[in-house]
Amino acid sequence: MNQFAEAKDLFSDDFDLSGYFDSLTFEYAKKQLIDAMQTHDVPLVFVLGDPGTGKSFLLNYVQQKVTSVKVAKYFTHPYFDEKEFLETLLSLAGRNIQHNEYSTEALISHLKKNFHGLEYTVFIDEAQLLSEEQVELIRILSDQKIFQFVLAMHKKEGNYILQKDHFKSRTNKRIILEGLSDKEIGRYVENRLLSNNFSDIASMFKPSHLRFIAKYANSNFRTTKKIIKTLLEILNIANREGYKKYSSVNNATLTMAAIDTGLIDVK
Amino acid sequence: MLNNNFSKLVKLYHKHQAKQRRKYFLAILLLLFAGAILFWFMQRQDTKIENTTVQEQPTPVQVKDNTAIQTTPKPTPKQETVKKVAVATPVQKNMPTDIKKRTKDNSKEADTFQLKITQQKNFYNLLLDYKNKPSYQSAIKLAQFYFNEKDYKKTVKWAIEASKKDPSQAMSWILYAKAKKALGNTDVAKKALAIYLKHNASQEAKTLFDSF
Repeated sequence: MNQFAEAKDLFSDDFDLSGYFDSLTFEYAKKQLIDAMQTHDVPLVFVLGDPGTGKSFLLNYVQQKVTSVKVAKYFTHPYFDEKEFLETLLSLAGRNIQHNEYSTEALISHLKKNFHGLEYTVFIDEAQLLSEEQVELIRILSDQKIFQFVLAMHKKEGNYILQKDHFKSRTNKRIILEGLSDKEIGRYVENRLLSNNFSDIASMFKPSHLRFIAKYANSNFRTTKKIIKTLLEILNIANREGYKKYSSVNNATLTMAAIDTGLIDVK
Repeated sequence: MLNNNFSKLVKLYHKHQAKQRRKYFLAILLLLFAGAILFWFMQRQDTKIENTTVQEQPTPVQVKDNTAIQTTPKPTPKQETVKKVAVATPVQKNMPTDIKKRTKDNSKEADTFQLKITQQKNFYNLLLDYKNKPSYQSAIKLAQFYFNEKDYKKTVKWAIEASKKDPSQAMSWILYAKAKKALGNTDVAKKALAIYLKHNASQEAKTLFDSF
């Protein structure tokens, strides 16, 4: 296995916290979220951003790395059944709850007894998929200060939900994750490769190559990783098969990576 | 894993490159076309200015006696475009097989050629003068130039131009009369001089009138 094959794994689209990158927007969002969780005064926190800007990574990072805050539960996807959701929350108090043992009202009442003062936070990722009823339930729980909810959702849908009357009038906080700047993309690629002893590969990237990536990735973190991973896969194959022309980072290989990831449409 | 296999990806890349090249080529073609249109337009504007300067219709000379004007036929010069500078290039002759001494006649030919170039230059300077500042002086110089060149039709035209600028000057009338006479219209020449002498006094014009 050549070094390109190893290096490409660094750019997989996962929540591996070793891939943490201190971009300006991420650091700012992280600080805002931790502050909101520590002060316990905002029942609803919305983390908004375009797909691939690092919302899920932020929630993961705070849950796993920040010890000063209490994350009661992290729903990586929205729950489907209201009762199941409430039962899961109640089980956090250490109680063994059977499914359908209590009614919805009884479950809320039990939650009230066990949790109060927004001491615990519940993370819900992909919250743009929540139905109106589910959003309403979250609003009720947060209104009664049982839990603090952090809802990560796509910016467009998030703004739409926040326009609704029952959110407009209530205290909430919005944390917005923006895309990376061109320079940050360059710094990310360099840091990621250098910190994993791939200095030879890191030195192959010229500023014009990084600009190319930034242009096609459109400041998106996930797309950036996707392009680089594909690029390294191309370099891996070219080196293995002996295609000299495509064995280094250049316009040809970058264009091929963009074509393969669907960023350039060749009809 | 790649979404496409490597060889297909290389093909797609080449296709993309060809597409890009086509785009650039079209853009360059478009630019050249736009440039050509602009150039053509500018050339056309220049020609228009040149033609309007030369093709202006001379207005009839205003004299106090209306009856006299009616009797005098109005000189109507033909519309002519200015000939562009076409300096005659000597016909290339084959190299002689035997070297001959240059005869006197050959040197004469060369002198004539030089003279023609100077005349052309003079003509353009005169035309340029008139274009920049249409005045009696510049018009009469052109009339004089054509008269010397024995181009009487153009002499008539520029004499009229000059007399439009200043009808009291004798030279324009004299050149007009001389040119008309040379063209075989002695009567017209005489009538024109008679009109002029009716309102102005010029010994030269009088002498010319008497000589008819």
